[in-house]
Amino acid sequence: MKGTEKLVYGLLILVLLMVNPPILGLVNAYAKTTPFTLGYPTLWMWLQLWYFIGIVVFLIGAIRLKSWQKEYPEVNKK
Amino acid sequence: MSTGILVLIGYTIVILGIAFYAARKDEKNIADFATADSSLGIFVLTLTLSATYHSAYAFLGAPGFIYTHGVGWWANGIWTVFPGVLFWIIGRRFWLMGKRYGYISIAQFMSDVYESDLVGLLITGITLVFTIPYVAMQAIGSGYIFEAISGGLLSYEMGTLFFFALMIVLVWMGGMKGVAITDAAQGVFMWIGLVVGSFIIIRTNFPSVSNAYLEAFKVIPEHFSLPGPNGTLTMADWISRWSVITIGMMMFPHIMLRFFSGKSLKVLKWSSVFSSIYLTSIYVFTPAVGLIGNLLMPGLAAPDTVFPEMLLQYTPILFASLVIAGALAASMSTGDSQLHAVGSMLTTDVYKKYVNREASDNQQYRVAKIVILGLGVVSIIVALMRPGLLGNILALSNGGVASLAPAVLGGIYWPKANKQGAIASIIIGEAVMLLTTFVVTPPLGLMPGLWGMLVALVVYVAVCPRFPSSDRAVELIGEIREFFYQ
Repeated sequence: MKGTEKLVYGLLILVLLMVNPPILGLVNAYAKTTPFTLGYPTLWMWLQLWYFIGIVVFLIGAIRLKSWQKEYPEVNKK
Repeated sequence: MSTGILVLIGYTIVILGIAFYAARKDEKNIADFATADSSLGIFVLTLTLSATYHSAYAFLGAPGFIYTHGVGWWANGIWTVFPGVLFWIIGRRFWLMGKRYGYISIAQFMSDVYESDLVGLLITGITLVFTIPYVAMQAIGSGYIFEAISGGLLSYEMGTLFFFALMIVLVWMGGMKGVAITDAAQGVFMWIGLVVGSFIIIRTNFPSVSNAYLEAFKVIPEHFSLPGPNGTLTMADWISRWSVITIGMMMFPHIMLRFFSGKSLKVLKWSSVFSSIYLTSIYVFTPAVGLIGNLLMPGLAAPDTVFPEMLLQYTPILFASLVIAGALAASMSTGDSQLHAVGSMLTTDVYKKYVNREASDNQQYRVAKIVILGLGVVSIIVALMRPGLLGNILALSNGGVASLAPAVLGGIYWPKANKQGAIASIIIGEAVMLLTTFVVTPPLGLMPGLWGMLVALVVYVAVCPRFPSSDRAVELIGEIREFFYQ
């Protein structure tokens, strides 16, 4: 696995960490004192932000990663 | 005749028309019936995956869950983003094997990679058992939808029976192609219904989305943080919910079958990316709708009906009926895909293997249709018994198949994989899942499905190294690595 692919997987794991305990617990505690951020529920905004980052990382991986560009040659089945 | 019933008739005609179009292209053999002969393009595969994955739950269960438990529901976001990622990372390996060796079901692959018919049989049996309640869940959703859309003129029972009939016709007419193309149309319908419908409800009652949240907060502040008003969304519940549903969903035959259905790896990749975008965007206004339901319709006896009830009350009847038909589309697209998948699986993995080894492609095709009819009948009987809340049925179904994950994933990733590890993992994982569901309270507040999956993983990792690796697993995993990384 090349460095860029490791980075993509690493970022996807980071997204998972950001939307799970214990970090989620800290954000939840903050949301109890500050329920709104930019007019929307703080907890929802936090989650939405990281889901968006997850999709962007996936999109970049789909465009950039060489091992994700492989195409199967149309040959007979074994 | 009410507007709602007219819309239902119109919806049925359109969907049947699309299925009829797909049926003209049906090759009438089992490979075409099961996987559309790996011919689906990006648009159709994206929408059939997305519409199949998210079901009546999107229109009924999700707003109902937020109405009851609050914004913490958006843990579900993990299983809107990551299924696309998994569909690509895992699915491309299965796709390659399907292309190279002609597998048209996961059980076929598993029997081969583990060199054991028992492993394939276990996969078939377990996915079948846990798919039935899932199909029933779609029928239950349809029953509610029919009652709502007809203003009570059509009963819940009539709704489920109509759902059953239409679903069977769709699958019979076009197999995978028919299901996939009608799913694509229904996926478009779903997106418009959920996003536009939610937005209109909010804007009819509030000057903006953020104002709707603000007004909801004044009345139900405890809905805006974890664990929610009833203390349900604990951290353990959060982890259980996303992990079991995200991983469990990948183990269902109707999702696995789509691994094999893409025309090319490029199609599989972009369908995965677009399905993540589609599934995340479809819920953009759902939290607001679920929360304001507490202001506009407090104290609903059946929270799952909050979205259709608000549509009928706050939007013109024609629009509401169209959107609710979108909910029917969501149920239908999942139900028909599930029936189609388990029918195809039983035919290729049981009938062809144990009943009639000489069965021609056309015979298998006809048997698949009969099996689908039988399974449909069982599902509808379950639905007519009204077994429980949609969310609970979803958790039970996903939990049941999630225990298969270590063995399924080990077969494409771990060269130490062998049948002893797979069989022990599947049987013990399922036993633990059932035990923690029906007999003992699951420890640490984790869901039974997660316990089943964790125990299955521990057993798999502990048992496999004690026995010789499956030669076929070593060979196939080597081929996969060579193809993608050299």
